[in-house]
Amino acid sequence: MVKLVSTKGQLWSIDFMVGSVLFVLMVIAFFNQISTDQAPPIISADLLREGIDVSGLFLTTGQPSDWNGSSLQLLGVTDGEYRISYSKWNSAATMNYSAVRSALRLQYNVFIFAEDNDGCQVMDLTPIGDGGTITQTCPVEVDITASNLVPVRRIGICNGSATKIIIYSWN
Amino acid sequence: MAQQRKLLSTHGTKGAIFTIDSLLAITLLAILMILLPTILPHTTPIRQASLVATDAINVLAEIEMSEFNQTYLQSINGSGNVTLTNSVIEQLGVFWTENNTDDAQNLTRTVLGNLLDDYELRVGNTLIYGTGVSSGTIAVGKRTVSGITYGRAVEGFTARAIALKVAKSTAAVYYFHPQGSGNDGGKGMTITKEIDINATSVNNATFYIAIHYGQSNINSMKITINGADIGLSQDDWLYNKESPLDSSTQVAFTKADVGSHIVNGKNTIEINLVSQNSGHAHLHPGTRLAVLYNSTGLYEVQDMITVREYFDDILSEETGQKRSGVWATMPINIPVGATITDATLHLVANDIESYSQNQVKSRGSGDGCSSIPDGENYNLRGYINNDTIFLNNSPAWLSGESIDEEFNLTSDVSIGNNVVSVYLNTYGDCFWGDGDSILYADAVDDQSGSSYVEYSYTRSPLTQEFGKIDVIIPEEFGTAVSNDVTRVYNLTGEVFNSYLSLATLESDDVTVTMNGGTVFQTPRPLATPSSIFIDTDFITSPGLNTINVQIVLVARLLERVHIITKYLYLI
Repeated sequence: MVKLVSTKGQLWSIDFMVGSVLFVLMVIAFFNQISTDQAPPIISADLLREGIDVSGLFLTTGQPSDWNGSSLQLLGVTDGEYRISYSKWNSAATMNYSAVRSALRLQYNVFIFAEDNDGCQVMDLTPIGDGGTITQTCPVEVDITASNLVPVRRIGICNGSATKIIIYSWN
Repeated sequence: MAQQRKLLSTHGTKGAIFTIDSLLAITLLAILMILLPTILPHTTPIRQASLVATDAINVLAEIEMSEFNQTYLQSINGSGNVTLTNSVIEQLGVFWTENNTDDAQNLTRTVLGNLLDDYELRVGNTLIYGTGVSSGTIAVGKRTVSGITYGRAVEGFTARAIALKVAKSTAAVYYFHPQGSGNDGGKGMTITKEIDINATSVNNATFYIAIHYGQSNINSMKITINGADIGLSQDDWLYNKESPLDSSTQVAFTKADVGSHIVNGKNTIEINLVSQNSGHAHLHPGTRLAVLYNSTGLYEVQDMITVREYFDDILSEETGQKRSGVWATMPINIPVGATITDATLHLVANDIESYSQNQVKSRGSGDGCSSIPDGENYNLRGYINNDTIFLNNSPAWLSGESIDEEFNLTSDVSIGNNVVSVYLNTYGDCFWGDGDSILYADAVDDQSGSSYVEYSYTRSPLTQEFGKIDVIIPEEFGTAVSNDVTRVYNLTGEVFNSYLSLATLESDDVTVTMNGGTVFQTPRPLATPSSIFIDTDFITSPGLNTINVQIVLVARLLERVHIITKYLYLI
């Protein structure tokens, strides 16, 4: 009688342990997926907001609308109607990164470039933020060391053609 | 025994239930992980897709058909009803009304290429083009296009004449065509142009001046606007050299910013060329005033066009042995396809003597008198191109010393560039006027009493004129001195017409070709106007155009070529 009770208790214990191990493994996998597939929600949302803000500002005329190097307050490179101004973009490309960062009111790092259908650069590349290195320009490839990276894609008009404008924001 | 089985059964059941609990939890977690992408906040793809969709639709609304290259436009022009000033989205709407799926798809693909990963473009509920939209989040960008109905023509029902009040920034170019005095020295001559600028604001103004004068100091040549000297000194002239044809005379050219002198309303411009020792004082092609301004006014599209171009007032003054005389040229421009209904020269002049051929010959003063053959010493000459309007010495319409006469030129005017030339008390470099010689004009205060050419023609308005405003844009080619200039230039919009403005130091025989077609050839000496009309028939717009200007005679110099383009823009 005692022997029978003892045997039954062992079976129950093994079930419990197997179930617990599986459960714990699944919980670990669940949180692992959250942490690897998704950036921490707060940081990525902040980066995304900045990326979108920067992209919107970049597609304006800037301030003042006829800004030059010395008068620049806010950095925009179009005519306000999606058409890229060569002179403004080229001016932005020749600025140093800290000036770009200041004129875009940046909190995080950024890199902005325009590419054609083959992914090759169509305008001069703007200065790249900390931790970023441009490795090639056709197609544009960058090596960015970052904890979190958010790309934002926009469309502008360059030389009469729709052109992809990519904004990388990272920290 | 039965109790034993019962106990085993009870314990086994309890253990199985516990394991199932774990498996159920694991299953739930697995489902959660599968659904994670849709459960967690999806701000990135949704906002990103929304931004790109909005960008794409706005870019389609911004890019105009005129911005595509000619090869592509030709590829769709054959099958589709393409309007160059349409935005892409408007053109897609037109294709949609025509059920022209192929061109609509082609156009969408051409513009958007692979800018978007997966997308569809729809007009209403009709799929125009799509790459195939995978499952997941869909963001939509929308834009309203008005004036199109499926299955109905977009154009062709527009009224034949419209008048619209429009505000625009444009340019006006006031030409001083070749003209001058018959004064072989003496006090010289004064050319006066009256203009009326109807602008809300004048932005800037540039005066281009090409003159031929004697050997006096160029500082003696005075140009005033509204009574104020524009202040040209010797160093302000870009060119001031001996004429390659006559070393005893000088040719000069410059341009000056006169924005501060020009006012809204009436302006009086005076050019005074004085103290000539040889030759006769006159303007060369290229003298013009270009004014950039903003205006509000009416733009009309009409079948019948009437143009009146006023001559400038010219006063030539005799001094001592130096005689006086006046001559002037004026272009008449008729577009290809027009029907000329009327053309008139109204000539008003004062202090013009009635001289016989012998008197002309005996009174002639100047280097060129000997070059006039006997029997051709006419006191008064008028030409259109190389045809004669009048050759007279003492006609009945020379009343006392005054002329106020109309000449019908209708049968003499042809399509394209025509040039009217008038000579009074002078011809070539020979002058015989007594006292003053005056060609009279006041284009602002005495229009009917002025000298002018007026011409009318009918034509079929270009469909693209309706609902558009015309904007005139002067573009300087920046050419160097040469007697053979070729330039390729890009017309970025839909062009109504163009004028080539030459600035010449010497030019007897000018030929202008546009894209290989001859648009102008000087019909007779001194008859190269300051503006050469280039009809749309010769122009590729939008697109690249090649213009060539040649001055045949060696050492006759040319510089400062301008193109004055009248573009049409959507209101």
